[in-house]
Amino acid sequence: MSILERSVSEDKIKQVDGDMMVTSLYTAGIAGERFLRSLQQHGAIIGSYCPTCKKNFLPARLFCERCLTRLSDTKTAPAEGRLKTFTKVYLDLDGQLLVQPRIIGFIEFRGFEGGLIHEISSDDEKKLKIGTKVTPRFLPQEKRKGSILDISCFSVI
Amino acid sequence: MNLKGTHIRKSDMDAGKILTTTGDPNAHYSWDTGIGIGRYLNGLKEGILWGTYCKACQKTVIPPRVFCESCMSPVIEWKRLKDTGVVNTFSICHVSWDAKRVETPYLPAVIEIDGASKGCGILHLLDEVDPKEIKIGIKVKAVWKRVEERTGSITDIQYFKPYQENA
Repeated sequence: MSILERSVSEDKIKQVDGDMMVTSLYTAGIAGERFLRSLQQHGAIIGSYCPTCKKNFLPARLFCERCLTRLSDTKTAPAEGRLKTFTKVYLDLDGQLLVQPRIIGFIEFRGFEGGLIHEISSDDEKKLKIGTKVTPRFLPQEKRKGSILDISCFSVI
Repeated sequence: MNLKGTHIRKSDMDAGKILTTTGDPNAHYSWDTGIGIGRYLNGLKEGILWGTYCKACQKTVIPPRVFCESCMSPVIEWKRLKDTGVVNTFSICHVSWDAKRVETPYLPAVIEIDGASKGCGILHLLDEVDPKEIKIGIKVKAVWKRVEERTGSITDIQYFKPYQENA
């Protein structure tokens, strides 16, 4: 038996194809729901405040990741964030070439640990750099669904 | 019961009281059969069961392997086996694969194929038999699909049914 015995005939079975049925339904959780509803209803980005550690976390979460205290206080993030890092994306999730490349960045907010990953809109992408100030652009209230995509993008200030 | 946590009802989801996100990823796969299983599946399409024989170990296995599992030797011979065998073990299944109760039980069984070494066989289904009459060691024979219906899959054999050797 050797590789030379491998069938090259087109009418022979050489692979087995199939589809796996994998569907999912996720909820955002208590704090995640609070965060998304705030985007939808108030056009505000909220985080959670830990009174023990005196720290704010973004997005909002139910437990402090440092001391595990249950968090109920929220704090609204400033309207202005800064690019922590960014990249230019040429392929979509299926690996297909995008007609228009997109810039995806990680945005931090002063006084908050964590941040958001979102699309960055810039008139001149060559001027983008780490530390560039950006601000969220929300969809009109009637189009918001309680999703991170209620923010259409972050645009450069 | 006093269960902690936050209850979620489907009605709340349907009414939009709770935000949800659904996913339906493209989980299409294409699995390369390899040389051994490729020939095995092509054999099934032709109504043939192929096994492989290692002369050094004097062992015949089905499904076929391109090297001997005992001595790792790649020197193996292809051997055409019969479509008969004996029941090595079996089960009477009153639930389907997706955990639904069924009226007529499924009868999965490991069948030692005639011509293969002792204890070597394939997993398949039994039919045309009263579940109460199945015993370890009964002789069974493959019931094939019609030639035009075969696709080169283990389901080209519909099931195994008991038979009398001299019948």
